[in-house]
Amino acid sequence: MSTATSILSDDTPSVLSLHTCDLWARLFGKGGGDTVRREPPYLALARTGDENALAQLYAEYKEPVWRLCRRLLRREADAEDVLQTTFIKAFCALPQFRGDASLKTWLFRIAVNEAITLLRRRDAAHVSTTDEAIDDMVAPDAMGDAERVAVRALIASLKPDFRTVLVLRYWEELSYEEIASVLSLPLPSVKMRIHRAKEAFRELYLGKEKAR
Amino acid sequence: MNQNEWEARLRAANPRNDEIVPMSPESSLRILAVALRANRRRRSRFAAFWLTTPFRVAVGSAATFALAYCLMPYINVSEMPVAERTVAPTLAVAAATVSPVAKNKGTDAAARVPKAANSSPKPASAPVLPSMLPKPVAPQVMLARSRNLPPPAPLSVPERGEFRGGVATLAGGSSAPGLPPLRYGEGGGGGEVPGEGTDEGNMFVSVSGDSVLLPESDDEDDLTVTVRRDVPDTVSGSAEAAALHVIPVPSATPDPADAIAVPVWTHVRVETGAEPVLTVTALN
Repeated sequence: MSTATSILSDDTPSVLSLHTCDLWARLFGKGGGDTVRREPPYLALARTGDENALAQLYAEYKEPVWRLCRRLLRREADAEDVLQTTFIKAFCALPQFRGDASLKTWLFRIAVNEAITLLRRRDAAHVSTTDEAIDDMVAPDAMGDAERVAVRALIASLKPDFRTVLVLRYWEELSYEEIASVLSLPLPSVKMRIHRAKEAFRELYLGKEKAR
Repeated sequence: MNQNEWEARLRAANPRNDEIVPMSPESSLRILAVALRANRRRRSRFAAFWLTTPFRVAVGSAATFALAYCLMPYINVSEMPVAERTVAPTLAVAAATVSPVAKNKGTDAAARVPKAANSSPKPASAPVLPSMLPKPVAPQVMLARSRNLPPPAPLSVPERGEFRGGVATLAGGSSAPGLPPLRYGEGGGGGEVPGEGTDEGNMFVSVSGDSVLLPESDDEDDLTVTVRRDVPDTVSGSAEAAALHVIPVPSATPDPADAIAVPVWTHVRVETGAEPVLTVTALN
C-alpha cells in the first residue's frame, strides 16, 4: 500500500515506471521482471533506422546470440550464418517490434527459428551433425572430460526441437516462460517437450552405455 | 538415476561462456555491415515504393483508359449479355374462398378433426383470368404490312364513296362515293395480308379514321365502321391484328367546324392484286 501511495505521489514518469517495475516484480515474482522491461535507450532510434543505434544494439546482443547459435549448431560457419540472418531480419523487423517480449528474447526467437530451419534442412539432406566438428564449439584448452563431450554429442544427435529446448533450458538457463516466449508455444507444451527431450536423451545415453 | 541426476548431467555438459570460441572481429564487423546494408536497402525500397505510388497509380489508370478507348470500336453492345427480366406474376381473383371456420360452423369438432386430418393438402391452383376483363384499348391507326414487296402508291379516296347498305368498297385509285376519305401511309406492325388467291401482301397501309366523313345516310347519329384485316392464323402475331378495333373519329369532316365526333367501327379488308383494295364496312 505504501508503495502504491509513493507511486501515485511521484510526479516523475521515469521514477514512476521504476516503481511500477518494482511493484510488479514483487507481486508476480520472477516473471514480473520479464513482463515489465526497461527498453534500451537506443531502441527508439534503432526503430527509425539510425545506424549508430543499430550498431549499438548489435554490440550489446551479438555475444548472447552468438553463444546460443554455437550451442545449437556447434559449427562455426553455421553459427555465423544464423547470426547474420538473425540480425538482418531483426534490423528489418525492428519497427514492428511491439515490445511484448524483451529484446533478447525476441532476438533469441529469430535465432532459434533460423537454427531449427537450418537443422531440419540438414536432417532432410541426411547430413550427420553428431560427429562433425564436435570439438569446434569450445576452445581446445577448455575441453572437459570425456563425459561432457559425450553428453554434448548426444544432445547434438537429438531432434532439432528436443535439442533446442534442452539447450535453452539447461545451457542458456532460461525459465519455462522465457522458453515459451522464444518458441511461441504455450507453457504446458514447453514442459511436455522438455520432458520428452529428456526421455529421448536418457534413452540415447543408456543405449550408448550399453554399447560400451 | 533420477530426474535430478539427468538434469545435472545435462547442465554439466554445458560449455561455459568463456569456453565458447568467440566470434572473430572480422566476422563480427562483416555481419554488422551486411545487416546494415540490408536494412538500408529495405528502407530505400520502402521509400521508393511510397514515393512512386502516385505515379504508378496514374500510369496504371491511364493505361487502362487507353486500352478501353482503343477497344471501344470493337465492343458491340448488342452482343453483350443482358439479364433476363423477371415477369411479375399477374394476380387475379379465381374464386371466392370460404373460410373453413365459417364453413364448418355448427358442426361437431370431433367430426371436423378427422376430416381435416384425412384431407390431403391441395396444391395452389393457378389463377384463372376472368373472361370479363375489359378489352384492351384499340389503337387509332391500323397497319398492315407486307415484308417482301415495296409499299404501294397511296390510295386516293374520293370525297364520297359508294355506300350500299352500309358497305363501302374502295378500289385503289377508284372513287368510292359515300365513303369517308381514309388516309393511307406507311407504318409498322401487322402481319402479311392475304389477297385473293395468294398470301402475298402488297399493302403497306395505314388506316386512320380521324378524317372519316359521314356517309349520306338517313340516320347520321352514329356511324360505326368495323375494321378487320384478314390475316391468316398461321402468320405469327396476326391474332391481335385480326381482332376488331374501335376507331374513334374525332373530326369526321374536312371542315373542323362541321366535325361530328362519332364512334366508328371500321371493317377493312386488304387484298393484294394489281392494286390494293380496301373494303370498309360501316355499320350504323
